[in-house]
Parts: sequence; structure tokens; C-alpha cells
Amino acid sequence: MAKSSLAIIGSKHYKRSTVRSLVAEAKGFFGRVTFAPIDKVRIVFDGDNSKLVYKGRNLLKYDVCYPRLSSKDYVLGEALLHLIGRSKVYCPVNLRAFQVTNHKYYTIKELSNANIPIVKSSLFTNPDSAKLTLKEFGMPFVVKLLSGFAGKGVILVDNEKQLDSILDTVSLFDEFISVQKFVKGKNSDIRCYVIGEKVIAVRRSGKQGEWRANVSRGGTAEEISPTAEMKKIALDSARLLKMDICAVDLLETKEGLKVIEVNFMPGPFKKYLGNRITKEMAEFLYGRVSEKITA
Amino acid sequence: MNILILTGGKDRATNALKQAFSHKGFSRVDSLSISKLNLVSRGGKTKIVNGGLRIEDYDAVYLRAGLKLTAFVEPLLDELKNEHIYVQVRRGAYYVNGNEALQLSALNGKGIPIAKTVLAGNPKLIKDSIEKFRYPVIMKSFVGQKKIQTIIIETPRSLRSFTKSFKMELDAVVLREFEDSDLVQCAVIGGKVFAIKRRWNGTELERLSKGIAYSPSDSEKVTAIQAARACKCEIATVKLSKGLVTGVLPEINFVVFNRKTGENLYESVASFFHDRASGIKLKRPKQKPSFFDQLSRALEGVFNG
Repeated sequence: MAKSSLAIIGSKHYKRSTVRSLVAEAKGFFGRVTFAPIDKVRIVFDGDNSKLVYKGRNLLKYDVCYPRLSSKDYVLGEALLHLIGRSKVYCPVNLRAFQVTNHKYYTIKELSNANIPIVKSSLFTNPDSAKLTLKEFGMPFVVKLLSGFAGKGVILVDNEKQLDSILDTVSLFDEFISVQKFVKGKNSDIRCYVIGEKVIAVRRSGKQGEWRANVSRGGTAEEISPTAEMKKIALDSARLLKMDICAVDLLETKEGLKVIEVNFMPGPFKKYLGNRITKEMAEFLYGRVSEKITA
Repeated sequence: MNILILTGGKDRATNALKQAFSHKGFSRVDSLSISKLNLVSRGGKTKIVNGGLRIEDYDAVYLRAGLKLTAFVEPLLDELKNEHIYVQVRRGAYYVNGNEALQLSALNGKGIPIAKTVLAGNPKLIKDSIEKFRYPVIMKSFVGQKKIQTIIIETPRSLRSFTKSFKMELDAVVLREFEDSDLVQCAVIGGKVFAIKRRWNGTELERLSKGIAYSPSDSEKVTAIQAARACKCEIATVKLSKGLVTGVLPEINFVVFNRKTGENLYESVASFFHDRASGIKLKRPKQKPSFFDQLSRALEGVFNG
């Protein structure tokens, strides 16, 4: 299997430590590992002979292509995922999942329709209709920018005075208004990494005085043993979006676990988990190539 | 059959369309601004909310919202599909047509002829392709989702110096061979194609409103219809230049097309929807009457003896 090859296409805004860790782990399995930042990649359209080129190499000829992209990579990212979807290269993610997971409300809507437990959410086109419907929600709730990430672009609203000015500000930026019921919890949530059929659960806890549990906002993370409920929700969510690698964020509520979002490009929390996540990812991707060759 | 026209705002065509739909035999024709709609998801289902609107009462929706509403339209399309309501654009149409790079990939993937094109993360990466292009070329640059510049470059030398001098940080560059020739702008309505020719005056294309009626060849018709479908639309505008597709939009400029072609595209759209929605209606699962519907029917029976 020394000849098997993996291309990791990185977001323009990639974290160097994540990439280094993923590449280092992948080198233990694959004969060739290429990291290609998306801003160094070229797409040449030529029907069935279209190419995805990095430093003269066509990445569509690799065994595995794993694009780790964010909403900021939208223009090139969507075209690239479409091209990969048309090719024979194995890819653990897909274009539709990229579109859906980068839209905070769309993700929740898809999951809700598939009977996966979610926190009640809504999408509005303008502040006036939002104000009317939000009375039904009851305070507090969280206003989310569709394009937000890593805990950025979320605003907790706990009184009516705040609501008007926040909605007006959001609409000023031509943003649609996504609202999610705020569930008072333990100042923590659970991130379930889905890697193939495996689920790795991590409890994320917010720092003192912070309601967001994101590690990037100063929170901490520790691996826990996933319950059957966690596994089921995480795997069902990933399968619905046809993703072999992703992370499903869950909130513990009185009514049980509920999904708050699905991550297309989950960070590995290296500071707390070391290379645990990147090693699993590399091993899984290699397993897919082995399966293909055996078949 | 009932139809709802969802608009992105005030639009001169809406009233004419309503008349055409009524004339075609639709029993209920309503229009509504998309900004009046909300989507609410909870407990295993999603509802399209607007005061008293019951979306399930409609057999078809004619969606006439601009691409800037993509983030709302896409989940809405998904819900309309779940309700078995016919819409002239499929799920994903706004994503495809709102991103030029993705649109090119979608067209190319379906074998639709497009001009030779390279996409890159920054202008310096296209240096390997400079000699492989036929000139002039058109270069479009993007920061995030926003197109910030479109420029026509006449020679390889100009392109080389342009890419070297470019200092701004970009997220994507689209470089395409440019046909400095007349453009055929087609309004595709199902299997029908209406066209206007926009002449190239040596430096730029004349505006659509200055164009002339044009009778497209069979091959142009087929290309236009296939391009619309590749971009998930049954009603669309397709731009053709020397037989190559240069762009697809999920909407039609009715006023100009009617004036220039002498046809009534409102009627064509109404006929098309009538055929499509009839097919969908036959397949649609029968709605179970609500408790209130059953109660009111029972009371009606009591009062009518």
C-alpha cells in the first residue's frame, strides 16, 4: 500500500497546527500525502478531463481527497467540491453538506425533518416578521449570523429592549436572521466527532462567565465515553448529510440531547486531545483506500 | 389548481402573470413578497409561516426572488419539495446560479459547451495557463462571495503584467476566453426558447433593451434548454456566445422579451406551469383534513339538515 495517496485541501484560513498534525499522522499510513491550501489550487475545466491542479499535480488522480474548507472559501470551495463529486476520487465530505452545514438554520431544518432532536430554530428575512414570531419563542434566545463560526456571530438576547437593536443591526449587514431557543445548560456542550462509524465524544466547557462553550473562546475540552444516545444522534446526523467525517455539537437539555450544529471542518482540539482525532481521521481515510483496493 | 407567486419585491410583471395564470384556468392565484415568510423548525417538522398562509393549499409556486435571497430560498425550496409543490427551480438552483465558479462546473459536468476556463485561488497561479488561452480573455476576481473586478485582457503580455502587479488579496479568480461577438440571450420556458440578439459594437455589448428579436437555431435551442436544466431551472435566461454558454440566470426579463419578440411570455409561463402542476397534483398525496376542517364540515351538515 506504499503507493496510496492522500490530498488534504486546506481552507485559506487553516490552522497550521491542525494541518501539521493531520499530515504527520497521515504519513504513517499513506505513501504520499499532499497538503494543498485552496488559494494555491487551480481548476481547469475540460469536460471529463477536468483537473484540480496543485504544483503541477492533478489531485483528482489521488486515492483520497479531503477538503477542509470554511464558508470563507465559498467561491472556489463549491466548484472544487462539485468537481471532486464528479470524479472517482474518494472524498469523506460533499458539496451539499458544505452548503447545508455552512448555513446554521438549514442544518437544523434538515435534521429536524429527519426526526433528529434539535433546539427549536427559525429563519427570518426581515426584522419585522422576526419580532412578531419571536414573541412565541419566549426569552431568552440566541440570534445567529448564518455565516458565523467558532462561536463568533452569536448573540444572546434575554430581554425585549435588546431585541430591536440587535435585529436592526443584523439586517443592516444584509444578513438573514436565524434564531435558536436558548437552553440553559451546564455552561458546556458535547462535541461528537464522527469518523466513519466511530464516534468520539468530547465535553466542551466554557470559561468562567462565558455562555459559549467554544474552545476557541477560551473553553476547555475533555474526552468522555459516548452514550448510545450520543452515538445514534451523531451517526444519524452525519449519514443524513452523507458525511464520513464531521462533528456534531449537542446540548444536554431536560428533554434529552439536542443538536445545535454540524461542523464540516472540525478542529481536533490538539491542546486537549493531542493527536487523538487526527490519527483517527488518517486511519479511517486509509481504511477506505484499503477497502477499495481489496474490492 | 392554485398557484402562489413569490416575489423578491415590487415587480411590474406580477400583475400580468396573475392575469395569465387566471386566464389559463388556475382557480386561485396569489402573490406574496418572500420577505413576509419565515421558516420555523421544531419537533420533527418545519413550517413555512406567514400569518394565515397555508402553503399546502397551493399546487405550484412561481419563485421570482433574486439571488441575494439565496440563504432563505434554498431551505424554502427544500420545504416546498417536501410539500410536493411544483417550483420551476430545483433545490440547489440558487446555490449553483449564485456562484459563477460552481455554475461553470455544473455546466461543464453536464457536457454543456463553455469557453475555456481556469479557476484559481489567486492571479499568480494562472501564469501556467497564459499561453494556452486564445485572446481576449475575461478575468473576474472575488473576495469572499463578492465579485470585485471584471476586466477584459487583450494579450498574453497584458495578462502576465496584470497578474504580476496584482497586490490585493483575493479568494478566487475566474479566467475565461472571451468571445468578442454578438450575444444571444435566451428566455427558456420548459421546452420553449425565445431569443434576443445583443450586438457587439467593438468595445461592448449593447444592452438587452437595445437588442433585436432573434430566431435561435435548433442547436442553440437545445444548448439553452440543457444549460437551464444543468443549472436546475426549467425557466431561466441563458446567454450564448458563438454557441458557448456564458451565463445562466434563474429569472426572465418579461417586459423586454415581450416587447422585443412580440410573444406573450406571461402566457407561455402560465401554460408551462399548468402542465407541470397538473402532473404534480396527480402524484401528490391527499392532504388529511384537519380537525377543524372536519368539525366545520360536520357543522355545515348539521345546519344544512
